[in-house]
Amino acid sequence: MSVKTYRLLILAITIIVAGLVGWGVLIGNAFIPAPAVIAGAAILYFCRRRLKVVVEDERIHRIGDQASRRTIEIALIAMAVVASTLLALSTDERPELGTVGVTLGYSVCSILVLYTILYNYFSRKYSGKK
Amino acid sequence: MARINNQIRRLRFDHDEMTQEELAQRAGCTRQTIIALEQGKYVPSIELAFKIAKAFGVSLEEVFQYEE
Repeated sequence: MSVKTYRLLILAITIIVAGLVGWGVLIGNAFIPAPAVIAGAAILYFCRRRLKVVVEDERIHRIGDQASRRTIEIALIAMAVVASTLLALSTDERPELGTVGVTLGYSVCSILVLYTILYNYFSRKYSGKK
Repeated sequence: MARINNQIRRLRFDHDEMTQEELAQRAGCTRQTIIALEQGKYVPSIELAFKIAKAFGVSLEEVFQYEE
């Protein structure tokens, strides 16, 4: 498969998946969007494996690693600041602010827990210990 | 400050003006990575460095030099 065909496939699959998700939301069917996204991702994965030319290499992965790390840092700090601000602004008249703040706070904690688990997993994987 | 220089551009021309695309295919990376390497904006992994040296049929030291 050529790069041009692959790029056209990405475009077509993106349009189809977006259409299916929109249609699922419109008719209120929760069983359409999730399978559509998973099927789209699976098709793209198999198409990428059939590519004869390299479209992703270590430099792309390194760029992705750095972008992911910066995104997590910025997003977590921003979410923590917004969560604490909302909790501080929460009053008996505006309890919804507290609810949103707590939800955001738990989200931050969940991401940190997931990061710690994955960090430890990869740390062990590349430490040389068995 | 330590720096890793490379002779990729010169070696490409020494090998019948091998194109960046051809070298990328032989080394299993993208043309953009070869461009970044030639411009000194990217330092490759050991694996890619060996693949590039193998693509030219020379030793690693002939392609990459470590300068302190």
